[in-house]
Amino acid sequence: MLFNSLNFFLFLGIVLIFFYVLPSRYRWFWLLVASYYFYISWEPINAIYLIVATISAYLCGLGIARAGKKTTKTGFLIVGLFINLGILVFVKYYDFLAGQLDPLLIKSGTTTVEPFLPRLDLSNPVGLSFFTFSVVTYLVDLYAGRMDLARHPGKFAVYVAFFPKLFAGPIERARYFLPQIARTVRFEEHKITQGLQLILWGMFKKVVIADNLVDLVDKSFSNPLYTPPIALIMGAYFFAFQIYCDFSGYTDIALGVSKLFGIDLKENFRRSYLAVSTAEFWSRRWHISLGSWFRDYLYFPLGGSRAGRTRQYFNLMTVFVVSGLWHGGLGYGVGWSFLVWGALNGLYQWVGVGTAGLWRKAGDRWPMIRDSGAWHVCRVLFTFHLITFSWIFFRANSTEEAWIIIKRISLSLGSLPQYLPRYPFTQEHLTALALIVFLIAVEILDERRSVWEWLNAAPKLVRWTVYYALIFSMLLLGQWQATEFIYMQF
Amino acid sequence: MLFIVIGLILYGGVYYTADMLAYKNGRLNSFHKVKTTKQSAFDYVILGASHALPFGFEDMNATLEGLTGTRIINLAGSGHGIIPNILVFEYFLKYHQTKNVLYVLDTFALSSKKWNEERLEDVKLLQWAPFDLTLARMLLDYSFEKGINKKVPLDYITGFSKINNHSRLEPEIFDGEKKFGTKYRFFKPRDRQRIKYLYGSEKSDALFGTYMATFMDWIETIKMNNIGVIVIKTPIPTHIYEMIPQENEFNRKIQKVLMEEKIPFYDFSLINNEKEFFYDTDHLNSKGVDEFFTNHLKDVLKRHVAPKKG
Repeated sequence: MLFNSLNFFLFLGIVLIFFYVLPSRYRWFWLLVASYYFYISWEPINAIYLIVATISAYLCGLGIARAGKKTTKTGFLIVGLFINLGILVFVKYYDFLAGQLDPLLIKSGTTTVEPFLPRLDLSNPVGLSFFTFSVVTYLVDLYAGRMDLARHPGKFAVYVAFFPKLFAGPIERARYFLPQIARTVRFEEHKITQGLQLILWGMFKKVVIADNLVDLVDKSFSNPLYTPPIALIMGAYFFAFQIYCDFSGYTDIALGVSKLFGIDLKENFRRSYLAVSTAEFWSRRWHISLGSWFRDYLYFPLGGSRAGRTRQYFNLMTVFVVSGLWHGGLGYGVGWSFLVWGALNGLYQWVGVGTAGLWRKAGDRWPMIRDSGAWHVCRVLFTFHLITFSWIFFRANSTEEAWIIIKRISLSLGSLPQYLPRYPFTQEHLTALALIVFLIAVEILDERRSVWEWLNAAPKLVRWTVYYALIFSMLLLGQWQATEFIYMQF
Repeated sequence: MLFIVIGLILYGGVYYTADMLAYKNGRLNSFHKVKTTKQSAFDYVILGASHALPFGFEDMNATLEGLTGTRIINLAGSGHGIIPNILVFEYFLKYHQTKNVLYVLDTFALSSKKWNEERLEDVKLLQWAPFDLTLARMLLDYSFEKGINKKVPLDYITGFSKINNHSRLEPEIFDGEKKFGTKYRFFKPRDRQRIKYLYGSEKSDALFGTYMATFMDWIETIKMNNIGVIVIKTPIPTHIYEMIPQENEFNRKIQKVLMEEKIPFYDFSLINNEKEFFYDTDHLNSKGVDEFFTNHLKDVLKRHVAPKKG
């Protein structure tokens, strides 16, 4: 059941009605039933992963909380992490690694048979990464004493399986989520309005912007050797907005749906392409819950920036390479291009850390330039292009194809002004461009003052005009063939 | 409340405009043809999947009418299996009459739900279908009695697919029609992909039996209404024919069942199938259709134009 389908909205309506009709003490149970139904409707057999994650994390959590000795606590933590991260790694990478190892085994003379290592053809359980990361946060936070034991197994199961965040996050921390499940939720009109507004905007981003870019992007990336360089350039730009609208659209809907149940999920995107540096992009604007997860559960445990400059460089690169590996394995096919994508972003961080002092000094010497709007715009545009460049590796079918795209684009840059007027732009290109311009305009306004705050303070007529403009543009321009959200694959 | 009423009024306006555009720009859609065709009596209704569509491209229908001296309406549709064709024909009979049905049969149409019950879920089918209470009722009946997804009547009644039709401002065109005058350059990996898309990797005996039974029941019903039925298979290139899983076996089964019921069956699969006669892997181009009409189909249609009584 996808967020952008009729079935989901029917399901949501029913779940919501019963949620508010039921007495408060039974609501967690209703949410649990609804969440499992939601998950099973996708692929029933995969519920086994969800159940294993929940039970193993709950029991290991009990072990950590009740163990007297530190070593026993650590033992329970390791078991919990091993089970959950082990499943994730095995499901995502086994077939890929077997495929990579077979030629090496043949070369080394170990075997002459191919395939030598059996292929399991495991299907990617949707949301596996996200609920695995959730249980990891719980176990680590509990071990570190940052939270109390989740005593109620049912409410803990809701934390793991809560349907709005189940497929693609945000990755919630148990210590923020569980208290919200415990308290009594009242039907509050302003929360419902906020929730519906987020759902509306998220749907608009997904079905109107992201899904209208799909064909244009797919055409550009499907055969880069024979695609005109102008189409490759447009494909790269369009993909930057496709993935942003797809993923942030999903998150907005997730946040909005959660609000309908009185639960606030973490903000996951904050006008991402207005970042002034790649460090800001990854830490405060793009997939914030994943960024902070890697920060808290990988970067800091490795020593972060406190263990010396060399170690900091190593830690930064490790985080981005692991992030790249996580995106690989499944998703846009199996390949090494995600690793390159991760390493490239790690490299951006190196350059950022390495030149920070230089920029600070330059800024102190020329404060007029540093504080000017033009400089700010330059930084935003430069960051956007760095990120868009890295997306080429993310989206290309292979590392080789990514290089082909980059090579063909760079070789054509000189002749671009000559070819641009002759390129056969279509109605779809113009629509896509108009939608992107509209999105950027809204985000710039939102950066100055929350668009929702402004809207909620505006007269009713203005509010409803905006709602209907969004609704009818979805009806008229939306792509409703219920395409999956990109991040559900990871 | 006031704003909800305003919203409904706006929706009504958009719905009306979308319906008018469907009337104006619809062209090949089977439901559109039934609803907008003024003529009421025909000698032949052509049913089937996309292999029958080229018979109606450009002025081909008029050519066939000229060659045979008959009145013909082509109601075939892309990917239409048995169930969609039955629905289209029942809808046709609400407004028109015919002496015969020329059914262009494909074995893929007998092998998968994808081309039958699920085929009606394709929004493209309803995008050009003007609103008609009769069709709405039929779709509702189909959803309760024949296992069609309930979303199909809901979509039709709310006009969602029409409102959401991104090609609403241009005349409806089938992608294949743009290539109708061209010759295809065969390329095995692409050909295999196409066959896999249509037929899957294996045909199901059980589904074949079910759909064949549905097909024969339907033929029985229309024969009782004194409408003749002729079944044909259109030409396809030999190497494509050989790629289709169990094609020979299923053709024999079809032939056997149709012979038992005395339904004329003409298998042109490997006739008139030179490679230059195709605009893609399996659809006849203008030259192929011309040759096929002149050398084969004309005689078949002339021979059966007056149905036997009983």
